[in-house]
Formats: sequence, C-alpha cells, structure tokens
Amino acid sequence: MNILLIEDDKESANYIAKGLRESGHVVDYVTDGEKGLEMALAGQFDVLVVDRMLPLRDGLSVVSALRAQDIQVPVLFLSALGEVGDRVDGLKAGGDDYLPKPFAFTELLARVEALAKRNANGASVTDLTLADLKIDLLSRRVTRQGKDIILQPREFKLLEYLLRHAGQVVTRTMLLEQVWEYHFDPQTNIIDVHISRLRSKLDKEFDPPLLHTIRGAGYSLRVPV
Amino acid sequence: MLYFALFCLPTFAIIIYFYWNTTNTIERHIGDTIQTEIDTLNEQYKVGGIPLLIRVLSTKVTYPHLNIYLLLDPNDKVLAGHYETKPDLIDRDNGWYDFQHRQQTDEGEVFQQARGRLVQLDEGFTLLVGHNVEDFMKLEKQVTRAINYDLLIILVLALSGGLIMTHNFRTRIETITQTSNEIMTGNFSRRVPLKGNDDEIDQLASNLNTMLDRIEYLMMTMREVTNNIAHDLRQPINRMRNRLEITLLQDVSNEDYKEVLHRTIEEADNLSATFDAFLSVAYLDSGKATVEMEILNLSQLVGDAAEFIEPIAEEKGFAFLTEIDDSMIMYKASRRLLSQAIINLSDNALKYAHYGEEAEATQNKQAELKISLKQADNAIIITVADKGVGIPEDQLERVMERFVRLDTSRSAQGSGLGLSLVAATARIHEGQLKLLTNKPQGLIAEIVLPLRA
Repeated sequence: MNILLIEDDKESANYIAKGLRESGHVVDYVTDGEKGLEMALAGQFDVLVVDRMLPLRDGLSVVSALRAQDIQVPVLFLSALGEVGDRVDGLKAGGDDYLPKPFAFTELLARVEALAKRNANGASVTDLTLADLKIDLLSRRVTRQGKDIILQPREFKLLEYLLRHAGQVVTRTMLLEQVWEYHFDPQTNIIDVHISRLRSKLDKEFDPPLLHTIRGAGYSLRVPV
Repeated sequence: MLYFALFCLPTFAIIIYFYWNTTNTIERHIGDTIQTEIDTLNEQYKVGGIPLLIRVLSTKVTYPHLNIYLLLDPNDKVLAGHYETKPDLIDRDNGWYDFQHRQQTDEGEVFQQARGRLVQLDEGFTLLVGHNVEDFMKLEKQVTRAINYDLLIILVLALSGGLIMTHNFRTRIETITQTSNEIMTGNFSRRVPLKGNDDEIDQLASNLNTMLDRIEYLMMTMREVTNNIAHDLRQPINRMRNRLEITLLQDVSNEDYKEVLHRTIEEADNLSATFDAFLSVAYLDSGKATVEMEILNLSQLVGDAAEFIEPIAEEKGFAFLTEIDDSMIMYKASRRLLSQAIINLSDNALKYAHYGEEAEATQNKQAELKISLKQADNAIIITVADKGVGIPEDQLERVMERFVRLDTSRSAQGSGLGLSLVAATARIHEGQLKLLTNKPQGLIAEIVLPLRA
C-alpha cells in the first residue's frame, strides 16, 4: 500500500513511518502542508495520514483543497485535539477517520489498513462472505455452511463490521466507535465478552475458526493459514 | 476617634440645648412679667396721667414683690419708686437695661442684679419697670459652671472610652491578622482565638475558623489523593519495571521476550487509561469544560448501555434486570458522558459487589445488577443497583471523591476514579449522583437529572 504521511514532528513521523514500513507498506513522508498538498495532487496514494497542526498549511486545509479537486483518497487525521467538536471538524473537512494523540501504533495501523480497503467494498453489495460464512444484508440472515446462526441485532452489526474488514485487524476502539458509537474508553474488557459470545455462536460448531484475537491489537475475521 | 466625636457631639448638643432652653425660658418669663406690668401701668397712665402713676407706684413699693418701679421726670428726678436717685443703667438694647438694685437689709445696704425696661412717656417722663434677677443670675452662673464641668467630664470619658474601644478593637483585629499571617506561612492548624462574648468580631473570627477548617480538610484530602495517585500509578510502573528487569537478567526465548513486551504494553495502556480518567474528572470539575450536549433519546441511551453491559454481567453469574421507561424521554445531554457513567457504575457493581467473603458465599443466590430509567416529578433518574456488600453508611459521601477507595478494596483492579467521574458527569448535567444502601444489602447509585423548563 502506498501511504503519504504529512507530519511535522520528526520523532513521531519516524516512528510512524518505520512502523508502517515494517508492516509492508510504502511510505512517503513530508513535514509541511504545502508540500503535502503538492505531493497528494501529483502522486497516487492509497491512504493519507495527515497531522492537523502543520506549518505553511494546516491539515484541514490540505484535505479541503483535495476534496475541492475531487480527490477522494481516504484520509486519516492525527491530532492532539481530541474533543468531539474537533473530530467533527476533521470529518467535515473531508477526513474519513480521526485519531487523537497520543495513540497506540497498532490503532493507527489497523485504521490505515481499514481505510485503504474501504474503497473496495461498495455500498451496493447485498451480501458479504468469508469462506463458508455468509451474511445476507437484505434479509439479515447469517449462515455458515448453509446452517442458520441466530444473532441479536447488535451481534449482527458487530459481525457485519468484522466481515467488511475481513482479513484486517480491527481494534477495540474501532469497534466501540463503529458498532456502539461510543467515543470513549469504557475501561473494562466488555468488548472481549461480546466478541467471545459472537465467537461461540460463529465458530463453536463450525470449522475453521474465523474470529481471531490478535494480541496487543484487536480482532480479525479471517481464514487461518 | 470617630466614636469619640460621635459620642460627644450629640451629648454636647443636648446639654447646650437644654441649658439654652432653660435660661431662655426664665428670661422670657421675666420679660413677660415686666411687659405685662408695663402694659397695666400704661393703661393707668392713659387714665390718670402722671399723678395716678405716682399714686400707684407709691403703693406698689410698699408691697414686697420682686418688681422694681421708678418714675422719672424729664430731668431724671425720681417722682416715685424704689430709689431716690436714678441708678446707673447698662444698655442691653431693645429698651432693656441692667442695673443694680439697692436694698436695705439687716446687714446694711445690699446691691443685687436687676433688669428692667425703660418706657418713654409723654413730655419726657420715663418709667422703669424691672425685676430682681440676682437669683436668676446666680442660678445661671452655677448651671454654667456645672455644665462646663460636665462637658469636661464627658470629653474625658468619651476620649478614654474611644481610646479603650479602639485599642480593644485594634488588638483583636491584630490578633486575627497575626493568625492569618501564621496560617499563610503554612501552619494550617492555627485558629483565630475567640473572646467568647459572641459579638461581631467573635462571629467573624468564628467564620474564619470554619473556613480554615475547610481549607485544612481540603488540603488533607488533596494530600491523601496525591498519595493515592502516586501509589496507584507507581504500582503498575514498578510492576512493569520489575518484569522488564527480571527478563533482562534471564536467558529467555524470543517467544518469552515477546510475551513480556506484550504484557508491558498492556500495563502501559492501563496506566494511560488511568491518567485519562483522572484528567477527565479534573477537566469536568474545573468548571471550564465545554461539553457538547445534544437532545437525545434517554430511553435509547440507557437501553444501549444496558445491552452493552449484559454479556459481562451474565458471564459473571449476575442476574441482569432492566426497568427502562421506554416512552422516549428526550433530554439534552452528552451521550458519551452518560453512557460512560452508566457503564462505570455497572462495572463497579460487577467488580466490587463480589468483594469480601460474604458476597462470595451468597454469589449464586443474590448477585444481581439492575439498570433502570425512571421519570419522577421534577427529575429523571438513572439507577444502577446491585446486591453486593455495598458501602458503609459513613463512607457514602467520601467514596465519591477522587481516588478514594475503601480499605476493603484497596488491592482490586482499576483506579478509584469511577465514582468521582460519574459524580462529575452528574454535576455537569446540573444533576447529582446519589449513593444509597440497598435492601437487604448492596448499593444503589442514582444519577438524578433535573427536568429543565
């Protein structure tokens, strides 16, 4: 994946770039907004990671300018400003996701990968599949190997999100935000319990196990190698 | 000094007025008497002229009364009256004169002060009608002297009174100032001494002492909280360090190294979360927090939270109940803060309700978590109730302060911030967090939100 990182804090940028490269991505990195806009307009990137506070041109302005030119590349904002209002500002400017600092690298990685793959899964899809697992989005029916699996509405929402990001790492924070719309840390491992409930419905009577825990990062719905 | 002036002035004024009024009255009385007499004589003069006057006056002088008469011809020769010659007259204007009244007594000739009026009759004849004012003058002199003494005494008393009061006042204020200085240099246990007479200064001192009690308490609490924070945060940091240190000392496999690193990350995340929670409480309490609120469906909010919590309650063997008024209660609030609060309270119930042997024993019989949303007369109440060990009555208030954890739960997981965060959330919604004891045991936590106009 080709990633453009626009971040003026050298130490932070090095750490992020290194981590992304170790994960197998190609990273270009600039330290000011003007250069960033220039590169984004010229190059072909799968995801932009943009810090809000930048010299010469701030992050929101860069993204607004891109959107005005009808450039739809997914954007992840990084910011020291983490209030609800700030997040809304970021999304309004055209950002697709917003990560307040300080953040865990695994969180950044998971979100960047999720954003990059987002374009692939259009809204016109009526069902999602992974191996023998199938979700019919219209009838809300979930089956494995043709057998029905009964899920509560929230469990369905959870499975749908995991399936849309099949193969990627999904962090607890991402789940909290997207499935429960909770923008805070509940300071408890409740998510783990929800996942294990879903897992028992999904994997207990079937093979292979699809819902995996990725230690230190989150979860992933994938076919094990 | 002010006291002195304030005291003296009215007193002086009263006394002087009294004096003036009295002397005036007497003078006027004398004046009236003389005038009346003059008028009578005038009438008689009009009737019978000088001859009649002479006859009348001659008769009058034989009677003993205090009026003095003298009739003079144009050459100032005495025609009738008390004297043989015209006495010296001292002009007092308006036709009034002072003169010496000659009297024959056993001791010889005696002169007394007299005052009279001189009336001009036709053809140069003059009539003097006067009155012995000797007694009056004596009285006046005595009173004046007495008053002068009095005024002096009053002056002295007022001066000393003023000085005493000022001194007293100043001394007591100085005591307060001095005590304040000592307190400001850090000695918070000092208190302002009270006189014991419950006057205004004592009341002020008493109030100051109450304020100082409060400050001392807050400082103690802050010290305690800071100690708790230090301990709570130092522990995980120590754990991390120890684990890393020990691992370095050992010869372990890559897998083991990875394990240690994972655990360290988890520990660091926990610490981070504790810091965040602490900052949240501080921020909410600061009074400067700008929390974004919107009109929400509370029924749905509480329902979502209950649904979120249910799996873990079930996993821990709790009976999970909900009683949510689903009539779509709309309320302006922060979804994030209220959801967090409900989850926090529930998490506490699931964690601490099991603490202690009694709870362990009754776990299967009584473990229960109930979340409800009710609308009362003037409030909306979100309740999280459990049937665990509860909190001792005398600790119900304390436990809402930051980092306070009851002794029984000192070593349990998680920071002691949950309740204080919930309390701060309630406050920022202009409501309050109420903690009550459940029957037969357990805790009822109520987030009471006021119904706004």
